[in-house]
Amino acid sequence: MSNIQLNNLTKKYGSFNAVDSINLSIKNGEFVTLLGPSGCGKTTTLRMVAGFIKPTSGDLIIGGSNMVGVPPHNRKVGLVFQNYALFPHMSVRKNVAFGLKMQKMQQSLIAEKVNKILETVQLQELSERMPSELSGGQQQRVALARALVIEPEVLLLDEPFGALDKNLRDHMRIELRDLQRKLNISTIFVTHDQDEALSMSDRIVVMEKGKICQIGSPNEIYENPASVFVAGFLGLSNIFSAVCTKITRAKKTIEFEGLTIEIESEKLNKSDEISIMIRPENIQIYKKKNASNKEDFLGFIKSKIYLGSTIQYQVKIKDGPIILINANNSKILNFQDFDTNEEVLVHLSKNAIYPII
Amino acid sequence: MGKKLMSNLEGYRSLWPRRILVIFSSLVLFFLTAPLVILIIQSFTNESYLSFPPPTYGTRWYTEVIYSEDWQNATFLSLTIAIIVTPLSLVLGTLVAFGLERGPKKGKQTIQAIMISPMVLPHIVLGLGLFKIALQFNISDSLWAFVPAHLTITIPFVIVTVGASLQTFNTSLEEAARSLGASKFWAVWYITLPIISPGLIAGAIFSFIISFDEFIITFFLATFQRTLPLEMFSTLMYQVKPSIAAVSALTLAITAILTVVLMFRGQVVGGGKIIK
Repeated sequence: MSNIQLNNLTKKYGSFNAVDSINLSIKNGEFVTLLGPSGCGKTTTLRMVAGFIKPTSGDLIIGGSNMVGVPPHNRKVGLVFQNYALFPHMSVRKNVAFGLKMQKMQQSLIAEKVNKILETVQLQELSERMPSELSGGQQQRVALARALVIEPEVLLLDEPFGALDKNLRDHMRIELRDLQRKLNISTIFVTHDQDEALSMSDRIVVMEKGKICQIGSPNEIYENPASVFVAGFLGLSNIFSAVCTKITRAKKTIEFEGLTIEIESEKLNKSDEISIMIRPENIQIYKKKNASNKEDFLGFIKSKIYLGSTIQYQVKIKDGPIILINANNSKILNFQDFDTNEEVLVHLSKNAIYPII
Repeated sequence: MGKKLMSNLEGYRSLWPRRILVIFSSLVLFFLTAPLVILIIQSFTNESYLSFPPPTYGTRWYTEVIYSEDWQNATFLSLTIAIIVTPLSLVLGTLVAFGLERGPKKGKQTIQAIMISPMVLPHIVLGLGLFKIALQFNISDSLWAFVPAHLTITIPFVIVTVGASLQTFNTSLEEAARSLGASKFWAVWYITLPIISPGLIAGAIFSFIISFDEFIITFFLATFQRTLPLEMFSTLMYQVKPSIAAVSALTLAITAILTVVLMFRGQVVGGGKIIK
């Protein structure tokens, strides 16, 4: 059963479509990420689900009932803001108890529930502190506890890691995902950070200009992007325009940037103009020797960036394009480093070339 | 070569502007406080005339003022007006500030300019206008005239102080409250108002003091009734007695105490509690 459904949900500001007729259904307990650049409509979508923005048209169904026109406080939606929005004049305990107090719950029951959720997020010792006395990570846990204690049907997260430093962010990612799984709560997560999207989501919804470009698991989105935009937005990629010049059964010959290569693709027809994507980690480079293979090309190292676990090279292929290559800097894999201007052999395997049709 | 020159220049740069600033600030402070200090000293004279410095000292004039029925009545009227004006001004001004900050952007500037214009309009013009209206409704020389008249000049101050607090208020706090089950009203009540309380308190202080001190507009509206400033004025019309200095010193003391107390409270309610 779908817990949340967006049916043709649209938000127009004058003639501008902030969100343009999007359809999405989220299963019970699913973690769905809205990913896209700023202005793509992801936050507008989230705020429509929360009830702060009234959709121009379309339906929003949460737990079987249409929520369009229902004010935020009657929606049972837990919301965590980018800046946490903790009430600065209330202690941690009062912040967390606020939602229950609004439900006019009994004092003893409130205390019990607050204690339980503070324990879950490991904040019971800090319950009497004021928000300003907490670190960023602790503040975020309070915001999470405050949203979860009302036992909402949906958890909405609006770039909740934006204000944390990198180590803490990685840590909170895992913590949040564990908690979400444990409570089995349907979650919509908004971010522009592809790493967050890839590492946390059951499904990713890539958005651009108010429209959904692609919905899929992190794996599907990364490996089989539906468009050049998706390919370019998630991870690093080499993207080229290509033309199919020859077909021999399953083998199709394509030409791009002066290079000719044979790939296997069922959909491709002769003279088709397509884009191809090659992920930098799927390209190998070797010390220079004579090009013996059709998939090997001569080139030289134009620049290199040391990134720790990988080394990123820009290689200019002879009579061809400049291509980005990520080499695994592993002691076990016997990685050989290359110097700038060194001549190398680039191996473009047909499996590495993904045609975007 | 360059290094030594630089350090010399830096020495001059850090010292002289600071000295000038200190001298200038001291002068301003002196000119602001000197009349008040002289007035307070004069009020403790034991003579029947004002002079500085007084030949003899005593609290004779304070006793006279405190036991004088005229001064008592005037003080009572001024306090009554200020006590009614302050909460009304706070509520109405806050509502306007919310309307301006949260309402449609179109026309906001114009409405704001009109709403706060009594701050800059000559009070004599306002007084004349209000006098006409009061005559029309036959309410002059009563609280029904004094209170609304004072509100016209106190509300703009509340609009400005509360408006400033609202501008820096993070509206996502209110949204957080609403997503947690608070209706719009309760979100403002439990979250927004406590957080903008420094602005509310400043607005209240301004309202009280401005109403308590108001002279020009009240002068137009009063016939027999006398507020404290009116009583001071009419006393001065006849003679310059040290009693006027004593009243001034007392008024000053009340205003100062009120300001300090409310400011301290404001800090406790607003920022102080957060830091503690």
